[in-house]
Amino acid sequence: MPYEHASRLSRREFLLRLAGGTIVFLTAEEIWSLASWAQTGERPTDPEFITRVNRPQDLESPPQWLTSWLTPNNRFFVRSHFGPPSPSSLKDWQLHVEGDVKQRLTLSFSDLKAFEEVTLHAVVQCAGNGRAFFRPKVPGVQWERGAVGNAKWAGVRLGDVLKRAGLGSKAKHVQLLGADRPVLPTVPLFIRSIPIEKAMHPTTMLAYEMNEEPLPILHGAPLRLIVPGWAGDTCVKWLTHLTVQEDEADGFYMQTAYRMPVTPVQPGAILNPSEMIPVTEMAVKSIIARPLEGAKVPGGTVQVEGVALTGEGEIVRVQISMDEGKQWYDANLGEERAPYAWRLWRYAWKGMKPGSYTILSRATDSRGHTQPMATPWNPGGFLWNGADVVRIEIEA
Amino acid sequence: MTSVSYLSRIITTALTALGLTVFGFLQHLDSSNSYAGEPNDQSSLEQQGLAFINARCTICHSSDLITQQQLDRSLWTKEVDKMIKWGAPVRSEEQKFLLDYLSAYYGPQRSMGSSSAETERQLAPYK
Repeated sequence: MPYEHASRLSRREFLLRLAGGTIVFLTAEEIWSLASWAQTGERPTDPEFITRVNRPQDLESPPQWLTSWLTPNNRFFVRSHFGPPSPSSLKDWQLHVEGDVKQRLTLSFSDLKAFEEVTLHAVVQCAGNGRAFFRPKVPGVQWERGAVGNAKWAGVRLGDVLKRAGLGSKAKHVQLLGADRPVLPTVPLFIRSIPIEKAMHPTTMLAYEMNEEPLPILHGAPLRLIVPGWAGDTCVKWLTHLTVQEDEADGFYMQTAYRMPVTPVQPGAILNPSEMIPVTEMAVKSIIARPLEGAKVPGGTVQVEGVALTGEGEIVRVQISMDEGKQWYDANLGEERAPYAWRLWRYAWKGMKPGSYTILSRATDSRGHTQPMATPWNPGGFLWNGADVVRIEIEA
Repeated sequence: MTSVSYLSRIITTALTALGLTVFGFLQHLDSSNSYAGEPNDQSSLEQQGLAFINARCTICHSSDLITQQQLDRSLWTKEVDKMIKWGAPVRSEEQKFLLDYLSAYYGPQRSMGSSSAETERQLAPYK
């Protein structure tokens, strides 16, 4: 009897339960939080975002935004596991450095600012960007192109902070925890870790500024990790605890989620998390920003443009095809470049005659890795980097 | 500060209005579906399923996270099991109903909105 439970509920009890569900929209904490964010004076997020999930918020940039060297803060994609912590929980914010260290540290924001400041440009891309393109479909937020952005970050080296604490003899991983908390205490915390080599890498940064503005609350204020070249699942926001330890972090978000098979598997295969390894480095990829899918454009010259990014290494080439990949033509790469940043590209397709066309793009990086036509399927739908495809109509 | 507290009041009012709207909608669903016994048609399954996820799943996340998925029953079973383990208020006798609803309306074969239709078109040459 599938409706047994529901049919046993009295009308009054049922309405009370519905009201219980509704009150979630209206908790004092939530209202207070929203009101307090309004007081931070941050620009609201751009209303043209594609809302993948309303609460906690997952916002995707529409493709046509992917044409600027730096992504403005209010147009930078938002990925939330639980959403931002309430400002009250951040009022007396401190960063705790503990575990296998010679000296535990408790740092205030001003203590942190006393370390040498570093700046760098880096892409942050959700590990699941492009998940919607995998077949068969996999569970998770169905991101298409725009869970990615490029920003100038300022902060301090994670390695400098760890050196101040002094690493113990069993220091092999650094566990990361932020101040965000799930609605129900039974939901696992978003706990991640990175290997000590990556933690000590000179570009791995505790960032407090984004594009020369204080880090916005949606992007992890007051402090988030930036791991250039690695997918965003490691870039923990609202950081409060760094724990140096011998093992990779325990728990769902490290041992079950954000893992990929080592070698390609049959699409639809069911794998144990132990047969997979954590998502780390991003894969070489180009994205077509313009024209948009399904666009009807006048004949003559068609401007094709977008961005290209990779993990370690730099983008050295972006190619365009209009004949299903038989012939490829080099796009012009933008002048602005930096390790770990994206590269803008543009191609002027001249003498276009009326008809239907499929535009393909693929990127190659300095290690010789070229974007494939499709990404091998994986059960979490991570690191999609198949050649981008846009269909357009050239009008008479 | 005055403008800030004014803004806070607007947000509070908007949230209250949203809450009442959702409550009203759910109440409407409740009055149009007595939940007495088996649904006699698909639309009833759809309405009761929607009311169910709005009441139980939205404690932690909005329902769009569910409705954008295209999963077969075995994948839905894994997701529902995970959510129950994490504290979702779903009783064991309700699981079959929930899985019937999710697999029927958010399965791999359903037709999608424009955004995913776009995806389908893009991928057609590579299948």
